[in-house]
Amino acid sequence: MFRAALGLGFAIALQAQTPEAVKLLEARCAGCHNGASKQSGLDLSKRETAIRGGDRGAGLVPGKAKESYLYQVLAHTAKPAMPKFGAKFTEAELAVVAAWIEDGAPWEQRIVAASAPKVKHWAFEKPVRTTPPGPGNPIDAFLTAERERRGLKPMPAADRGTLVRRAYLDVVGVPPTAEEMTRAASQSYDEVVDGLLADPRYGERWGRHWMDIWRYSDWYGYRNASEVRNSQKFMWRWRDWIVEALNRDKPYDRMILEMLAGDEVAPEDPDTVRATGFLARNFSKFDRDGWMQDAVDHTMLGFMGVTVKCARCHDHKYDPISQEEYYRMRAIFEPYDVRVDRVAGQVDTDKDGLARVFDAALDRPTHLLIRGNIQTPDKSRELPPGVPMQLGPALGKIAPVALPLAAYYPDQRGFVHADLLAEAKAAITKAAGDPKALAAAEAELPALEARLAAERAKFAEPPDLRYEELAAKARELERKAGLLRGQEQALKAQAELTEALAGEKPNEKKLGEAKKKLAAATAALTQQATGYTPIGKEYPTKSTGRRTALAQWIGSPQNPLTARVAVNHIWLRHFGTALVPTVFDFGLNGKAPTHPALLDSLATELMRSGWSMKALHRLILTSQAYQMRSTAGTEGHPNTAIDPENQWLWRMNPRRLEGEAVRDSILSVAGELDGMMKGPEIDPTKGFESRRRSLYFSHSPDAQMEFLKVFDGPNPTECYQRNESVVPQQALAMANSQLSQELAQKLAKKLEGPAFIDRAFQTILGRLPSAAERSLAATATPGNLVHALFNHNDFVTIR
Amino acid sequence: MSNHSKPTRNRREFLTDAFCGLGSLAFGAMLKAETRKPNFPAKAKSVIFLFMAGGPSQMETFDPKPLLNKLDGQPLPASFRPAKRQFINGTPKLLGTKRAFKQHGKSGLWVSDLLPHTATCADDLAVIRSCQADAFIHSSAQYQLFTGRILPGFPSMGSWSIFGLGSQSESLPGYVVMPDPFGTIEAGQPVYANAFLPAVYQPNVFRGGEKPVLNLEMPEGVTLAQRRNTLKFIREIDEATMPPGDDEFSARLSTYDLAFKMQTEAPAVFDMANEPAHIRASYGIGDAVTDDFGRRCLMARRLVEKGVRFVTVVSGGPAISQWDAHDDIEENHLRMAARVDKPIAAMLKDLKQRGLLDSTLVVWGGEFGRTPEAQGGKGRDHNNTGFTMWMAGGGVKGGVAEGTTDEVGLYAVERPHHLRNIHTTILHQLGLDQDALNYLHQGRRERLTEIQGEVIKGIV
Repeated sequence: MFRAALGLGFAIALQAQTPEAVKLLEARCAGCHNGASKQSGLDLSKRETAIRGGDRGAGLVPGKAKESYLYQVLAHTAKPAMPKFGAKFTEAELAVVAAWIEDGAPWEQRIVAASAPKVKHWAFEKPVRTTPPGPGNPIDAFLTAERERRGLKPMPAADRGTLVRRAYLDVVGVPPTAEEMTRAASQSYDEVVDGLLADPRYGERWGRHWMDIWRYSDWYGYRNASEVRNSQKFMWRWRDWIVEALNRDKPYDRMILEMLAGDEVAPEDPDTVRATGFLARNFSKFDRDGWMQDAVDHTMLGFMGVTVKCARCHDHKYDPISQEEYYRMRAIFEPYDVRVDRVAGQVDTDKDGLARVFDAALDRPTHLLIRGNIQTPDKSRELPPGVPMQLGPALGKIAPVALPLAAYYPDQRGFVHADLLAEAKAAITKAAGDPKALAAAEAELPALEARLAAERAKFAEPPDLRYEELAAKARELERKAGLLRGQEQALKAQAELTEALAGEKPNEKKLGEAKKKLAAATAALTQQATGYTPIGKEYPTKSTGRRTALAQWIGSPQNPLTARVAVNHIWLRHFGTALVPTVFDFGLNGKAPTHPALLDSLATELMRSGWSMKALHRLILTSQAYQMRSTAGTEGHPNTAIDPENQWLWRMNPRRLEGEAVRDSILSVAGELDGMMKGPEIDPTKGFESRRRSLYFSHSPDAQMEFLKVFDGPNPTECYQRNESVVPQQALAMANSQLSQELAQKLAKKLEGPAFIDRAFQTILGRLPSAAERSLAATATPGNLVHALFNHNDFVTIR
Repeated sequence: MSNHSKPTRNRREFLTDAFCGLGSLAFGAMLKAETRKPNFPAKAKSVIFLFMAGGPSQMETFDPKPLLNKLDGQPLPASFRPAKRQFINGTPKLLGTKRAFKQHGKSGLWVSDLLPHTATCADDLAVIRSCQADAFIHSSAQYQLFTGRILPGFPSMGSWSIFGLGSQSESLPGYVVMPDPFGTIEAGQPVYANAFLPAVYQPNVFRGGEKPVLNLEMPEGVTLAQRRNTLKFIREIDEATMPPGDDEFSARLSTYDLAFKMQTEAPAVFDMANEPAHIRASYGIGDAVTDDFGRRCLMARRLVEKGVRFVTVVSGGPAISQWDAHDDIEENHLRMAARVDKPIAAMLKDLKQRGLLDSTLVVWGGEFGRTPEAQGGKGRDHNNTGFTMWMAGGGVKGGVAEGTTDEVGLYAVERPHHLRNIHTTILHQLGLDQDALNYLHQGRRERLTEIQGEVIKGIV
């Protein structure tokens, strides 16, 4: 057992004359009850606070040991029995404490806090590369050693056709076409693998995997009013970043950095800032506290596989994460907020934009919430940013980032000015035929030009001395334009009012609106402008740098968890089982790895390769283990008796395709898949009408494609691992859905002609039929055969 | 270690799961095999939750407040504790009710003339007048009512129920939600969901119209006989290459048999044509105002009759199509009540005459109630500090009123019941203990009640 709360590990400063009893308190109690981590509100770093006690009452009554609550809990005559972790004080020790209290509890030297003992746990130690126990691919060397120890014989390689199909489904998410099969036959397997990893469809297939882990969700909320309550609009830009980053093999540590702090490390590059969708996704309109929780909990779950959320209300029951440390992590996120920046070609950020994060309130304080209750913050202390001490290296220096103008005043960017001017010019064209509107629009263009000139001067480096003059001009032109627009609006409102009153029964709602508009227009006419209207919003010129420091800590080669967790996620998605079965919990309550040396070897290799995911994929895909047959071949194979669950990987695991891959595969073999990549999310009810790949459809707790749901689609709130169920609804979807019905007929028509049966098997299952299958197939109509092959076990399985 | 942190399933688990475990859309076939024993003898086998989205007013329905009418137009007397509201600010004036209250049945339970049909069932109702919730915004409050938490991401009571008990039907879903065709409620569909509970516990949200379940209907032009042949062919062609001893394979094939069973049996349950005309009429089917809610209530009865465990019927969608009477309490509640009152009473009576009421717990209520103070003259704002819900059947006492609010209906005063107690009582009637019904999720035992909850002793 370890001590729950961990103070800062300062050196202990005790003087020789420190009483024995204080030394005992220091050694046995101050790990949790110290100045930095006051568990239960009790601070045993000095006499004064020890007397005051904590949440449960006074601590010490000098001169009266039996009446001292501190003594009572140590003697176990009062609850809670202390120390919470570790042995009870011996009678001799209790006597020392009692005598000291009776003596008036003399105590001069402050205890500067002790640190709790370091928790020994494999996942909190840095991974170390072990020399593989044999030659060749290290994966095979490690697996072979374990198999041999258990008398397991690895299955031979799968036949070439099965293997190529496996690799295609696994790496790009659709089966190979007939042409691709032919090409693969003329290539070495390694060449096939290289080709697949270079295929842009890899980014789509694996992008969806990482979207699971990184909790991709499109916006949701009050759809009827288009009111965003959770996540953000335009999240698809982050999804596209994921696809691109994977295809470019962006180093994983860099991905982490860009997702957590793209706005700090590349403030002028919207392509990088897109990555912060990872944090923008946590937005919650009504619940800032829940938003912060999600940011802390899921950053740690996704990247480091630790369940920190327990420490929100109390010290973590299993892992060395104190409640205070939890809130220090929260302090890293506390300043951030979400905004939507303009993108080129669209002035209206409701229609398009870049949802991103930025530090909005640089010194927003973080308080520990007592028992995790938002109603009871511990206002006595402001917690500085930090990370759990025992989970990795120390957090690096937090360096505030000075932001460039384009970042803190994004509407000063050239394209925004150009778009605004184009919009103003278009308004003139549009107003043709309406003299009042035209006059207003014609006045608004020079006013806008003047405002832009003034804005440019205001932020010019070196300062533009004409600013005052330009500002005055802008104000004047804007006032004039405003007057004209006001007149136009007033006239229009008047007309609306007349119309609203005209009917037999006045439309009260319209009447009210018209009245409001008229009042506003009239007010605008008389308003005295004090300055011109700035063209956009200015944000803080600095960012705290906290998120950058966190990302660097997570992506540090000294971090024991990050590489292991990533390797585990990738392994799981290639083999169907994970090396650490609890993919989101590498802590003390998680399960131990089946192959620790292999896991560590791959983790160190991932870091050594410069965090290249593709290098890791290649290593896995070219291993013999990956290429093995997925069945025992014969009934009663000795391996099945030794390891029926294939824990030691003596064969490949067959896997059910995910819903996305099922849908994409049907479309693909039918020749109907629209290969267009990226772009805004698609209405999920259009899963049949649109032939785009499944990852491009809107996916949120509020709206998901039905077909995907049936096949265990990812829960957008959290999905660190997919379920793989076999239920009748899948049979219903495959047998009855419009998708499978109509595409079966379409494909049957396309395949019409000689050798139909062979070509149908080739196209859909990637192999020729057996004699038995051929004679059976001859009894069915073409449409029925294709339909049946869509429903074939081999079609929805990675064999 | 609990199954929450289970790795990908091994071969043996896969097999079990294939029939009863982690699956999509909770059809009973998978659930039935693992039907669990309740923690104690159950009073109810099924629950029908009539959700009045937007928050119906207690002062207009089941909680008569004579003093409120006397104080109409006056500010809240200082002797009452003021409460935080969503829209009302300053010192609002109290708003009396235009509804007339009368005592009904042998029990003499007070029901207003807003609900004349429900009133005829007074002796079956256990009215809880002292409900309390934590949130006064629709979405958060709806999350709490359905899932016990104001945040998204926790399982709904329907999912908890089938997690605890499984289903009783092979060819129907265990947990059904019938939303209002007017549209999605403010919190959206996630309030009904299974969240972190395995997918087999997810709700089956019925689609409006004739085809409530996706892909269940035969494709156009396909007869049952043809479909049987197709499935036979699928099985044959699959089996032609069946690797020896591949159990996953057989599991997948057997789902086709189950699918066929559902396809042949479930549509008959959904088809209400064979209900006698007088029953249809009693639910208000055929009358434009009550037709939709009447159909859904009748469907609810048909579903519990066939063993569906939890059915949620929603009255109210977004904005003004719900019980959210900010502008005009009279206009709103007369409109909303007219849609549901007759169908609800008919359903209670229908359940009773079929002997199903004893084993079916019917629960009625919104995510909160409404303020005694006026909003904008004629409307009422949200009130989460004291409001009314009722239960009927499923072993609860009839004709009782539990708890009280203060004399204007603002705060629950005697025996206040937080939503946790409502949840605890629902589970209790199903034979489930709120504490024992938990699921280890990322290191924490999660419950519908979060940490606690008491059975409402006055009604059971």
